Amino acid sequence: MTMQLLSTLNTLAMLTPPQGAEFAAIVPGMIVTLVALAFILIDVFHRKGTPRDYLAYFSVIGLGVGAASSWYLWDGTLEAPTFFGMLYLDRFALFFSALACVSGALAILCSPAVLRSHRMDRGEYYLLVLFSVVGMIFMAASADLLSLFIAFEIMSIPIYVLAGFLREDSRSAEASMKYFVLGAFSAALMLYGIALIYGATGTTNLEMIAQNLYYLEGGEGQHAGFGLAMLGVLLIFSGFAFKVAAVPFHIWTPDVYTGSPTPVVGFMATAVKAIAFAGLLRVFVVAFPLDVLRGGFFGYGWIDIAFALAAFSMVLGNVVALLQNNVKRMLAYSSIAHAGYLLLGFTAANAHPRFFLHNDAILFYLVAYTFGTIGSFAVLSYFSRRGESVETFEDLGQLGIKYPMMGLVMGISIFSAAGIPPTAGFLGKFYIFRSAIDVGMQTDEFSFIGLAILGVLSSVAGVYYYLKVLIYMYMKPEKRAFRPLEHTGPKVAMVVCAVMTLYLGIFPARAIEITQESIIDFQGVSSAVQATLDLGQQALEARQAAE
Amino acid sequence: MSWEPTLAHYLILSAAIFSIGMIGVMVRRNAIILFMSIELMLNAVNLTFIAFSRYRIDMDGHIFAFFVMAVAAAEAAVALAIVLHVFRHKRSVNVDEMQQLQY
Repeated sequence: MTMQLLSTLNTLAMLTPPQGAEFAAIVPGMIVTLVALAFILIDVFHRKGTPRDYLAYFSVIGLGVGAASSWYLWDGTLEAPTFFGMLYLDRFALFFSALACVSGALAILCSPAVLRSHRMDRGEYYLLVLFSVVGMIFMAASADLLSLFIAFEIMSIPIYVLAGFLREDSRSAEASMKYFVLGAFSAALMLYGIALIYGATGTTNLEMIAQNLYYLEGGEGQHAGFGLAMLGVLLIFSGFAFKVAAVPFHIWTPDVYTGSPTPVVGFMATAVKAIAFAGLLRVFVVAFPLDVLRGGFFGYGWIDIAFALAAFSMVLGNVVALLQNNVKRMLAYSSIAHAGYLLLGFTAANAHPRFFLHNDAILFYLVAYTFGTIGSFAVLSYFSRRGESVETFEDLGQLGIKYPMMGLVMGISIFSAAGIPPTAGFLGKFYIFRSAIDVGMQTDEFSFIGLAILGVLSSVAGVYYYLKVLIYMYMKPEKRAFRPLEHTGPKVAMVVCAVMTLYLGIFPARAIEITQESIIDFQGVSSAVQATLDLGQQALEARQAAE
Repeated sequence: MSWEPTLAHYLILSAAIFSIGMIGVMVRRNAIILFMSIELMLNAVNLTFIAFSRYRIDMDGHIFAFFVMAVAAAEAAVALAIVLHVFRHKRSVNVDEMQQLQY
């Protein structure tokens, strides 16, 4: 009896994650949380009528420390999920926590002047951005659907509020309302998916879900629970697709981007999309491995659904962006197209365990996209006219000639978004398309090559509307005079974005190495993927030894 | 004759409540009713969690349901603030009147 109990306990110990708390796993998140909590206190002692710029600078420093702490933890990663089986401490999580911190810091740098021009210089703004970053950090690290869902909501709820932060602007209220209704709706769908997965597998731990699904699927005929799990997978996928703004779930994007404060749009276009992709990778690679779930939905697996969304997002995003005459709306559709490119990379890299290393293309693309996009939103938020910010293309008239530095930054960001060398965006697109073609060649499946060709063609169409921005900034007459909001913050953000975009485009070696290290250190994968990762690890070590 | 509800009954009930919530979000036009429908969806999920939790004699589902309640409360607070915000501008909470951003 005792022996039997012991052996049961042993198998349980193998299945259940270690019951210890490794506090290193929460260091980046805790740093940002503590900064945010300190702000609540500091804001109480704020002297009325004085600017709150110092809060912006403090939060940038706090986020910088958060990013630096992930760098500090880079070599101390753990293989098993830690913190009571809730979080991973691997380089993949650290990479995304650093990315979220950087994106938040750049967005905050652009904010004080914009807020003041709308007479909304409030301390809560910085708090909300920081709390959202906390959610993002934990989302990329989550090892359990429970921590994933909570992190997802911590990330989303502050952004619903931020979207409506400009109290005197009715469009901001409308954007917030639309984002909230659709966001909460998709979160509820995702939650129902989680409930079904829990019902089918009896656990919320990602690795144990994968194991239990394997048992459910195997054996004599498919268990009834397998159908439940399939529906759950579909619902969870739709929740993520909403956050990355992929096509059937994109309806909110143009309206919310147009109405929200410009720095917030920069933040939600970059950080939220990046972290949603991190969560997507984490959940679908760890919990729903393809060798178990291939062909779950009437012969189509989730990879086929991602494939279809990628194609629709690329085409629809780029085509509809051609028709816009509002710059923010155009950027919203272009962000849908970017979600399409990223989904293309996601589909190709996860089509088979042996291509898993190609996921580094997604990570590189996200870094390139973050700097490029925040750069363009920083320029847009820098100009204002009686409390209005730049909206239509005509508003951009002559701005590039009157303010050469802004024109230069906008040019670099736009070139990066369009994928023109020597910017980071070009290399990002190049790696994504290359991985798709590589996978297509190796599997002899024309569909991936076809999708890559579709992606290249649609990004060529995209060049038209991107260059329209530059044509208006340099060649069209000025319709309404916009004034720059004299403030150092946006300038710093712009310089950082432009320099990083060029640097990553010209010297990408180090950044690519970091993305490869993050993918190789991805924890919780199935044994087939782990074999690929080991090969990648050996190749990386051999290359580092050769240098 | 005694009748015992089984897991399937709970699942059908919760799926029905979830669908009612979903349809509510799609067809109702009053923002407050919209949020009520979303709450209905979340609570249907809670019911699913509890049913599965009891069925499997496992506490994870109960814990999840508690967290969902907490999140739903936070969402409701934000939702009401947003509705007030919109009402101040439009003097109405009809979502059909929110068309300022569509051009």
